Amino acid sequence: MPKQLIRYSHPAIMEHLASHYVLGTLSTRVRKRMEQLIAEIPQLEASVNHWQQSFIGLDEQTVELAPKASTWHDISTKITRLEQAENIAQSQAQETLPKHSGVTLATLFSRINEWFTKPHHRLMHACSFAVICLLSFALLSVNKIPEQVDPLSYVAVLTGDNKQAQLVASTYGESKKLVVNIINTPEISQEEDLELWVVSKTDHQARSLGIIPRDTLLLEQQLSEAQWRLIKDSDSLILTVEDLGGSPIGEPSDSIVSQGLCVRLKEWNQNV
Amino acid sequence: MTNNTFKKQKVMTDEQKKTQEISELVQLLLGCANGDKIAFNQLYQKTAPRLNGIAYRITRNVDSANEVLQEAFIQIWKNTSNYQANKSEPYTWLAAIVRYRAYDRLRYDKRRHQEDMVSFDEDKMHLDCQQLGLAKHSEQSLNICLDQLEQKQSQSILMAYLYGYSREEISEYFSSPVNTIKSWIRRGLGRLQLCLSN
Repeated sequence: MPKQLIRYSHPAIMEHLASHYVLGTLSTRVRKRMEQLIAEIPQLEASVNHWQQSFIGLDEQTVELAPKASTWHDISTKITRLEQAENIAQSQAQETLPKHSGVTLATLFSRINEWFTKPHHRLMHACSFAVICLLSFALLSVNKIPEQVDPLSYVAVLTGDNKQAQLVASTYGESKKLVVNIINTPEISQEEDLELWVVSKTDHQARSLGIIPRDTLLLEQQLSEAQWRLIKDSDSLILTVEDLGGSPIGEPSDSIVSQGLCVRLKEWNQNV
Repeated sequence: MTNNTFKKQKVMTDEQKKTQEISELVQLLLGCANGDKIAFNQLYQKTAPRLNGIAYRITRNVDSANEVLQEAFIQIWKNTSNYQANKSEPYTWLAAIVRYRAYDRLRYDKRRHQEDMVSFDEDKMHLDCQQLGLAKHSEQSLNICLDQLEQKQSQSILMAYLYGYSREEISEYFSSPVNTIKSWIRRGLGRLQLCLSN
């Protein structure tokens, strides 16, 4: 089983995920992810089936409502269109591939070959290449490209209930790096992990920045473009206690052990 | 014929009906998996009113319910080859597809949020639970187990499952923090699981 999937094989995590999936309390994004996981992990699928079967009594007793007469027509029309589109795509794939590889590309290669093999073309090509090299060298020597500096940086001091700083998280705009100084985090059991989350100021949703490894005092992490966008939109950071491997549902648990506002430092590099 | 014997025979008949329905739906799903559009139409005729009822229960809008039903049946047509009769009863499989599409639709629309939060009340929930058979069929294990939960736990679970309320909406309804709602649901589901397994 791939490493990413191992974390989901814990019975408690699977049970949690499956029950919330069936209950409908997962966000659309997490439910889509769950649908992939269900297809990959048979035990998870079994757990989802179990919960669905447990709750089906509620659906069986729901009052019926005749659908509109047009609904069936819309369904059959859409399916027919989908099938037609698939058929066209399949036939195009079968017809165009040999055409491109066999005729069009062959023609192109023959023309390129012809260009390089003719003596007068060979001479012209050599001259053009030399001119391009000289121009590039001259431009680079005269106009040295200025260094790109991103002046944005953010820092958050996360404190616990006792208002003592537990960790300091800084992000550096230039390198898009997250650096976490771990000062004093609460003790957790072997079945748990601490997970860092960024809370958006736009939609107030928390999104994971990852697990804080055990017995680490300094954590450096390269942020992806998506994570960097989250940082730029951040309101605060929170640290939560999660099941081992991190939150299985992509949302923080109730046990927030530490939190702090994100402060944007403008033009930090100019003040150094 | 004594009452007991009559009742037993009636129960047997209901069970037989259910078995027959399961068998028919499985056959139709197998037909769909083989590209049989007549089977697909029969499946629709047999189940659409019930499934549309589920979609309407969640979306509370006739047009949205019909659109959900449409999306769900297209998904059913595409995915029938994934259906495995040994893993799930056919109606459970079909109803789940409709419910998840309805939850997605609800989250996407956010159409009814405000008005429904205002109109939702406990009497309505109680009435709906009776309509759904929760009060009448207390012999069913789910109902027994739901009855054993704290009221706020069972109510939160039912609000989410039956009407697609998000945890944030439930939190607004109870005027309690979202984290508290998460705890109620988590504990409620845990106790429900324990009870159902017993």
